[in-house]
Amino acid sequence: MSAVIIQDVTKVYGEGHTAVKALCNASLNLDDNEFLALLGPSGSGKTTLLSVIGGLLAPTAGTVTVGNIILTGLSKKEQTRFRANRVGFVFQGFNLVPFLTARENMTVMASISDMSRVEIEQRADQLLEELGLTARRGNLPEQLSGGERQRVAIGRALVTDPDLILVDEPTASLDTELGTQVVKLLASEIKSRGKAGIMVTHDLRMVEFTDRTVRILDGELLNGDDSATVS
Amino acid sequence: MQLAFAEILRRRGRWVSIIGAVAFIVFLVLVLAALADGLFIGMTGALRTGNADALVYSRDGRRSLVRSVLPISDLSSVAAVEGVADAGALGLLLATAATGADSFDIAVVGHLPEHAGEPKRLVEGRRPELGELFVGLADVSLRAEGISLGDSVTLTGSSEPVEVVGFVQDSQYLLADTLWVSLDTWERLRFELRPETIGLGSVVQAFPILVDEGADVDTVAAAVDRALMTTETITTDQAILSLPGVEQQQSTFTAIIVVSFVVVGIVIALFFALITLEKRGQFAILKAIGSSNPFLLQGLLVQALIATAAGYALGFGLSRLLALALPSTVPVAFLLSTALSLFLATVVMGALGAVFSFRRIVRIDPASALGGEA
Amino acid sequence: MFIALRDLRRSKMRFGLLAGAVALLIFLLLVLNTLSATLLGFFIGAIENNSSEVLVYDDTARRNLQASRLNPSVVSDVAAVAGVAAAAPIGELTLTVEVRGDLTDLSLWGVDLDGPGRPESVVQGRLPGPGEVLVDQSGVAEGFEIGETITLVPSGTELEIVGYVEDLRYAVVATGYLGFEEWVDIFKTEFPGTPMVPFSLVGVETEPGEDPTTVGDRITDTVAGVEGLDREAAAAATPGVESISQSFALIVGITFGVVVLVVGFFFLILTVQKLRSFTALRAIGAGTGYLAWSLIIQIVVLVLLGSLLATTALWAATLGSNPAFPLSVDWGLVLTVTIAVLLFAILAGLLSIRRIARADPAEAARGTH
Repeated sequence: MSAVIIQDVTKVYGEGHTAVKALCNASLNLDDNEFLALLGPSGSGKTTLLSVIGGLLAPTAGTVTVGNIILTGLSKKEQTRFRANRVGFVFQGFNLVPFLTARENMTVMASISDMSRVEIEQRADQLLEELGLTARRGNLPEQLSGGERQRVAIGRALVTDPDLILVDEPTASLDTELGTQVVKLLASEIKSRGKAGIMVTHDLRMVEFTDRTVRILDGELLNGDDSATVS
Repeated sequence: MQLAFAEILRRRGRWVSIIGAVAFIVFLVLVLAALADGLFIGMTGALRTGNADALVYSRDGRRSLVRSVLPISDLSSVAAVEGVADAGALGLLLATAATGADSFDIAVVGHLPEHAGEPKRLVEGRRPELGELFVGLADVSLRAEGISLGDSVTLTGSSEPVEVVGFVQDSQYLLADTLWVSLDTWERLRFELRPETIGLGSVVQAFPILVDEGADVDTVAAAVDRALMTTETITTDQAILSLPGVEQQQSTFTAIIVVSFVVVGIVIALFFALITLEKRGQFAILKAIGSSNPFLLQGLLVQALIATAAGYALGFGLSRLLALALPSTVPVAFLLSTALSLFLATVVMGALGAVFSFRRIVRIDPASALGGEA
Repeated sequence: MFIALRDLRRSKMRFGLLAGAVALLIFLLLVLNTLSATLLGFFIGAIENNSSEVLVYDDTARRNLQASRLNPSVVSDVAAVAGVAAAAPIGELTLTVEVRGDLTDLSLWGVDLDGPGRPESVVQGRLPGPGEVLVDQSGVAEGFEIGETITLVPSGTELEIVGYVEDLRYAVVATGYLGFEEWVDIFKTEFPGTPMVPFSLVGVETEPGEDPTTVGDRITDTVAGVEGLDREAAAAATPGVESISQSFALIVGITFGVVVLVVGFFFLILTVQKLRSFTALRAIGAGTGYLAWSLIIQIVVLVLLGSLLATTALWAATLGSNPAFPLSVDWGLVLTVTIAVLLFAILAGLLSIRRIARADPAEAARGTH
């Protein structure tokens, strides 16, 4: 079954002659347990596509289906619930809550998602161990290294056991060794748990850890996808 | 909730400053109110202390205690009126007194012990015996002049001093040091110090009255005036407002307090609005990972509640400390009603401020969390 | 400078709210000050703005005007003292009067209309002749208007109001002024059978170059049974005034302190400029000094704007206030509070930049908070 189906998604910002087409008739199918790399330079629309898939942004046209949910038909409230329960985000700047410890940055999802606190806490402790963060679980983000912060962000993305993980430029502020480690970790977490994942990146060296690569340029998805249509 | 508390705990420095700002604002209004209330109480003690329901003035005195003149012989007529449970007398003499080298202003109030208008709150010593002359009850304000129990107060121009046999509280006339003596003593002093009033005979300024249980004060007041024809009987509250300067002062202070409440309320609201606005970036992330608007609002309100409540407590404590540090000549009174209404106002305005800026937060686009912009 | 203004324009809401808060606090202080000053003036205006530089009391009255009783021979004794240019009697009598059908109080002052004690601040109308009276303008609230006739109770004597004076109210009651001889006649009518009419004060004008306090002391020492005080001392000594002016001084003083502190706190807590953009600018080479300047400029603009708003609001209020309770702008206070707030706000702002100065500019590149 397809984890994610994107059909003819277009996103236009602005109106008239100042209109900017961030995405143009993008179509994509992602299988369960598939880790996809979305490759493209800055301004290519890759972040926009990720936002649309994650329910952060509504497209101007087209449909997005995640699992059995038709995302594009949801109300704002329903979109919020979707993001809380069904998607895990790893942002470019890690974006951890600065006054919560590593563990708390994960367990805060108990207040946000529908999962019970007991379960979240169990999963958080487990993830902390898997990610090698147990010793650092009481530290605030400012006390953690870049790599550690990234791992916390990954942990937060996974703690609610979402079906889909969306990752935005995970290696942007890390050196090669650290970056590689992080992507490897992401891939193993995603694959071992049978989840689907999309990683937006401009770093070619990271694609070896993914199952598939799709290129995007000027809002258009290019080759690498079976059902891609070039417009 | 966890989020709201964690922020306060981990950003202690900032929240201490926030609580500090609220505390100072609250402190200000509490002190203003205490000073205003203190002045009011100091000015009106003499009329309130007797717990009278109403006061009978002479009509031509036009509600002025100093200019009202009633012959003491009218007292029995007043007491006989239907609805009057008890009637007393008040005579007012403004003079100067001396203890050793220092002289000070003093208000000497002649009254009928054990009748309406008698100062109720005895805090030290005893009340004068029936028939005892040249003894009196001093308001505690006289202690500031160095007077203690057993001391004598000599009025300037009088041959005989008055011995203080007891102290009463909250019985001042227009902030003056006040001495309560029997009507007989008062008359003697009056004849000596105000010889021009001898021609008026045995007169007093007012008859404080108590009405029968369950009777309507205004009805009885009208009845008294009808019976005597020369009087104007008004409730104690009305009499208080007729004291010179009281009404003007009250309205000025009311204006001061109202303006302060309003300004302080708005400032607190603005303050919390600003604090909330600053956290836009944080809200974007939280929204991106699925926090709902009600969830975020709840957190904001909890924080506003904690900060305003803690700030209020601190401000209240500070105001009490200041009261202790003030010289005893400055009248201050902390009334519970004021303290409670300010507490409510503070908390409500803090909450409103958080809610107001929340409207902006609702409009924050969670997508802004992506792309490294937030 | 450029950055400071650009940032201002982008965060109008934040800037506006902050300026609003500062304006409100300063406004509060100014309003409290003017309300207290006006009320205090109602108590002692007649004394503190008296045209006599020195006021002579009966020394047994303990500086209480209404207890002070002097007899006419005292005037020449006082006039004979060195340093006294002119001396005249001033009588005060508070009585019930009827004006426009209502009974109210009036503090009636009998003065030498050419000499010390004469009302100088005539703002409308003219000096009174026989059967006429001048009133302090605030008396309009009680119905005392030019053209109205007031009737003294119970004697029935009538006086016509022919003019207004300003800031010469006494003991919070409506206050009126007329010639001393007339006043004596009125006293005799009110207190029939009095052997002699005592008046309250002797008003003294001092020779040019003489210090009123010195002259006052000289009078106290030379003339038996009297005490001479300069205007300020006399006003301060009025019974009840000490408590009230102390309370007011405390009110204004505490408000001043709190306003300054609270605004300081505001600037400590709220960064006018975004921390992030600061750090980013540092990364591209902007010095901390330059950034500090930007912040100071923002703070200065903000505080000045707040002060301007507050002062304008009060000034508008003074225009709209009725003569019954006149308001005024104390420019000295405006200046003092603006400077004090500015200093504290800048101090607080600089304290909050310290954090940025210590931050690592390389953080900006990494895009972390």
